[in-house]
Amino acid sequence: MTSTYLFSYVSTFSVILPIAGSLINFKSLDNKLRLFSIYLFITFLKESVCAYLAISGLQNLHLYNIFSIIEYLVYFYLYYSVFQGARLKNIVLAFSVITITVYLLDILVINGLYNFNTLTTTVGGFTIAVTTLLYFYQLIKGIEHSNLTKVPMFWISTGILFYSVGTIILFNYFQKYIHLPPSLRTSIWTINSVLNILQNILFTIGILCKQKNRI
Amino acid sequence: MQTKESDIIQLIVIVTIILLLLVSFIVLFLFVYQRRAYKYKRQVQKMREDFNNEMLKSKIELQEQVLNSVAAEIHDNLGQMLSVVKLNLVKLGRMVGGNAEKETEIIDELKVQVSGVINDMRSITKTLSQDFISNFGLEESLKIELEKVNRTGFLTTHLKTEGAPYKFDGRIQIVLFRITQELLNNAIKHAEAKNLTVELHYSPDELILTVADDGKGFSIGDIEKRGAVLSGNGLRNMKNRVKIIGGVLTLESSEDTGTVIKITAPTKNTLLKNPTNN
Repeated sequence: MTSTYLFSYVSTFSVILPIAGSLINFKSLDNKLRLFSIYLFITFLKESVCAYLAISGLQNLHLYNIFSIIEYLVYFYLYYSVFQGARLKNIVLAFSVITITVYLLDILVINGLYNFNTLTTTVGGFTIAVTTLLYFYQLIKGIEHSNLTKVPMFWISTGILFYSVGTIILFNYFQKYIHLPPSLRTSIWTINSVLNILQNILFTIGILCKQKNRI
Repeated sequence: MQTKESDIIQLIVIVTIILLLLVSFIVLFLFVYQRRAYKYKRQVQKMREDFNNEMLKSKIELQEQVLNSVAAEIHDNLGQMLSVVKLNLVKLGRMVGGNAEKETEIIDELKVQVSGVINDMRSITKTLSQDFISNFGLEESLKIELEKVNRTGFLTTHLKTEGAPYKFDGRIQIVLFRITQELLNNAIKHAEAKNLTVELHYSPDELILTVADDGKGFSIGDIEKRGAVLSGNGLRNMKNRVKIIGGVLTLESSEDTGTVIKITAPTKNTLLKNPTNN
């Protein structure tokens, strides 16, 4: 097994880390983080099924495509809940509508369900990245927390920001390198694996640092 | 073909690295900026609290100075004049002698009334004067104040002491005494209480002063919602004054059982801090 494949497998199952964290710390999690934990568990199920399909030589892209919109909507809901003030909430609502519209266009008109939805991942990644930056703006403006390392949403947002910004080019150019030889294609996909592992580590820290009234 | 492929890969890798560096910078900036901003906010808050405390201290000191002046004026001027009136009444009584029985009776009655006024005046000057409270101590001052209230007939008061009394910072004694005075006033004016008990519990490090009445009581939630006042100076003012002396004020009140106010004030080493201690 090459290091590229190793990264890929570790990435696939790295979501177990934040799930374990939420099981350990479940009692002190508030409703938003509990919902987030459930989302992580569903992600784990999706990753397991997709890994099984890949090993069996079957197509799994449609599952990723279906799940991508769920992922974005969960993130948007999470930020909608933590944003204070109507303006930020309205921006999140607008982003949700834009992402859903682009997703439907991508699925029904542009790429279809069985091709990688580059448009959805690019627009979704961008809107999510902007949303996390808006959350950071709220943190700076509010100055409510003495130490950001104790704020779960800080870690979760950092994870989401790294992943969404880091993969935006990767997803956007998917159609360009999908035709490359498998060895090259897999190598470049390592970026996704590494960022996914990083994201899940940051999610784990966020879930484990949870204190009451600190979101 | 090979060049084009490697160009794409290079482009993706380089742009991704640049973006990730940018994200790292944003996160780091947020972290550092937020920490500094929070520190600054806390400093401003502390300065504001210190300023408010200083203002309140000055207000209390000014109030005590005014009360001292009033006490001195009453004692030196009014007191002297009343003593002269009493002497003149004695003289007048001797002059009238036994010839006019009715007039003598009125003069005697006047003498008793003037003596009563002089006694009341002395009692008032004692509790107005900061020096008296500092010199005689909290317990003695409270005893006089409670007796004075008892004499009015509006309220029956009791003073209980637990532990061995000791001397501590005069400023703390004055703050506690003034708050008790305010609570007595509230019990009569607002609570319509019939009985009031003041309890002093001396422990080595702190003094617990409890004032309990059997009056109407009130809903603490309502008071806190309105940021309201118990009387002229108000609950918040009392809490602030207690805070200045490093103590804690707690309040329990219900419409059935009346009101209990408990003040825990530190007393350990306070004698050393204040050169004006008794």
